[in-house]
Amino acid sequence: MPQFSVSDVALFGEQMIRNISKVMVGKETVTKRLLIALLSDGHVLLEDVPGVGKTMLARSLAASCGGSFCRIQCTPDLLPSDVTGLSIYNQKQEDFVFRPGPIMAQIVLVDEINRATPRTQSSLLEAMGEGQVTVDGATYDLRKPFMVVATQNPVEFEGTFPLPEAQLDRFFLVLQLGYPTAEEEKEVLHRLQEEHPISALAPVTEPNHVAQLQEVVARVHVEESVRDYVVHLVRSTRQHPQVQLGASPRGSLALIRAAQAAAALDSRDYVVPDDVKFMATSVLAHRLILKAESILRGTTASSIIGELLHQVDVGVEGDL
Amino acid sequence: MKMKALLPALAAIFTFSIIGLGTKYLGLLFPALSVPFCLWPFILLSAIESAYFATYYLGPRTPSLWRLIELAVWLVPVYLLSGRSAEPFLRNGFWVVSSWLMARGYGSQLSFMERVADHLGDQGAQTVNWEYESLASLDSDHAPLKYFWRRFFGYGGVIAILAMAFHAKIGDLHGEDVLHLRLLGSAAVASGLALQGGAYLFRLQILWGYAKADVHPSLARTWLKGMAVLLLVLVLFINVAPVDYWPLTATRISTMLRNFVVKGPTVSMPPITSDEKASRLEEDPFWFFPEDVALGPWGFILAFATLIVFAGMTFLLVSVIGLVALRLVGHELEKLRGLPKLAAQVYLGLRESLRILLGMMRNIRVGPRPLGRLPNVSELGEVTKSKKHTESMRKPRGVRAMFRRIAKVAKKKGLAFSPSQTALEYGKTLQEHFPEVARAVQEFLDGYQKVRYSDRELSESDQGKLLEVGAVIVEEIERWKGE
Repeated sequence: MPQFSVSDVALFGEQMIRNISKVMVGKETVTKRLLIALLSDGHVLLEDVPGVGKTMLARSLAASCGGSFCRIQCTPDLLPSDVTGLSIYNQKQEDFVFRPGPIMAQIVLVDEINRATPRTQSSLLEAMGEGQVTVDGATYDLRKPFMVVATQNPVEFEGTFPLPEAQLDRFFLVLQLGYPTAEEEKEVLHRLQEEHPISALAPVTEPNHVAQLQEVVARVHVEESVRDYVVHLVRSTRQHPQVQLGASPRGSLALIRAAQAAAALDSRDYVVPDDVKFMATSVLAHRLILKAESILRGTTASSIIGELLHQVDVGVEGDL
Repeated sequence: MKMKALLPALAAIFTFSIIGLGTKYLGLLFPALSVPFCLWPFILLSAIESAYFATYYLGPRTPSLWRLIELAVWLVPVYLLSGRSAEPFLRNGFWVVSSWLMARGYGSQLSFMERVADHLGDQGAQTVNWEYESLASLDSDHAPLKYFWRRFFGYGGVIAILAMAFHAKIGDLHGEDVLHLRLLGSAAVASGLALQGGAYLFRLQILWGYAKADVHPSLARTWLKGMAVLLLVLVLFINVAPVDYWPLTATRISTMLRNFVVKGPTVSMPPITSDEKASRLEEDPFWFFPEDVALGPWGFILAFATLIVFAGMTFLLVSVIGLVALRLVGHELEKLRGLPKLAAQVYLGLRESLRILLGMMRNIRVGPRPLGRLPNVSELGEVTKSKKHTESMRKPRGVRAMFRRIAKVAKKKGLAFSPSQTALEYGKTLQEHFPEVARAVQEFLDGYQKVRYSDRELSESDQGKLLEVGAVIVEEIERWKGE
């Protein structure tokens, strides 16, 4: 079995970003963060207004990875068994046979996740947290790499079920795509004039390779002061006066893993505080619960993380 | 700033001023009732102790024995200093106990204001004020803000009557007495009004805390500043106002009240003869409370020292009882009740205070921490940096030392390194200001990051190259004359 290094991770990143850019115009940073989640064995929630390319980004990631891909379109009448699969009676065999659900794929796009009922949403919990699914008392391991890319529309509330905090915390990253610039929008119109480029998107890697690169990322060195910085940053979210509930230790863990993946994508086998800063908002913001008065005042979790990044001591060389 | 910490002090000052004014006027009206100067620290300190104790600890379940001990701390030194004689002891002890009780009343009200909030239940932010008010006013005698106002005017009225009686009976004053009365009067007005206003703010702070309102931390400081200015103006006005414009002047009121006061009950205390005083001093030289013993400031200091020694001994004894009680129950405070529990709390408080004091002394020796940054992780007390990391911070290798040098030189040119910046962010600032060495800065920082954050060492030659690049950057920064 060949030994991979951080240069292979960087090469993988370049190829994936180039491939996905054929479909997604001007979203290199978001794509990089998505790859960081993939390399860290995490799940992503794409949260943005309709029509900015959330589903397309998830589909192009799946197409570029080359693994099995399934899409779950969430509706209020979606049942947990529609997600996990169910056992049906086979008359020929005279026995119950398990029919796997879409969650058994390697890249799962859960579209408009907040339209599913909490019962169905929670059926995703085990798969996302443990990498396994239990149906009728039998547990099935999910194939690696496994990644859930969920999308939700944050402005539409009618007929939706907001994700509970426990489930939000299980998402490694929450990403916003944002509207394209005028130039980018023009380019989108030009590219989509005839045929949608996603149909011609070819895989640039294979799932096994991604799993091996995940192991490389886990070996990236984290110096003690960087670990201290992460802990200090996460703890400061718990002490912030506008925050009711700060980030959990799962947040610290996710931030370290994300920083390791970011370092590896930059062809570095060590993490620098800039990697932590680059990933802090995407990893931590959705894990904070703000006080009611802060929300009314228009404060956002992202602005609080931004503020803390300007306050917390990085500890570069002690007191300079 | 939490007003709870400040209000007992204001209550104690107000109590002291009122008692001081009362004793002063009574002493001027009836010389036999005059209070020696040495008693004043007792009156002030007993008020402070009583106000703080009542605010923070006194409750319905406080053991009576504890209250007796508290009183004994004040009365035993007074008894000793009164020459172990009943008559001066009763006279002096009366004022100390009055001060102690009066301050205790204020402390209890402050404590009551906080206790009311415990009964608020699940109230919305909009109704919390109304609910608090109705709960606090259930028993009209216990409505704290009314209590403060009533006493302010009540005590003020008594002092006014005494003052008018004095003016009617004796007339003008001269010398030190005028100064004492002016000081005490100003302190009484200022502390009384500040206490009232502070109680309003304290009430708001309780409600804000309950409603989890996000209030700017400097609000209390701003309030205090405003109140201080207002009181200063008021006190100056009272003392310096040249015109007696008030329609009800002291003379007019005193004329009206003269008959009442003069015909009122007269206190007749037989004056102590000089022979009697001399014989008492011969019997017991410790007896120096009578007002004409010319001990001057030494009497004051000796009285204060006696009080401190006695209070210290009591405190030590209680702490020892607390330590023994804690040992007996295996350091489980919940198992204790009554006096042993309070004694154990005193012991734990003493231990905590010593710990804080030692910490402060250590900090003073180490030097102050720079302002404007959050404490680092090791200061939070839960995560400690590894030995390896601490050592590496103490002994930076060559490239790291060069980074520090660059930061130091740049700081002199106004480009200080912020603790929340990373090396790369700082590098960008340097690149913007010194575009001539932008590439050198990038090259140096790439190497620096390897040295600082990687687990591998750079070769000697690579380190040497980086140091040369660093030297070029330092030279360029030093050459810079500014924009």
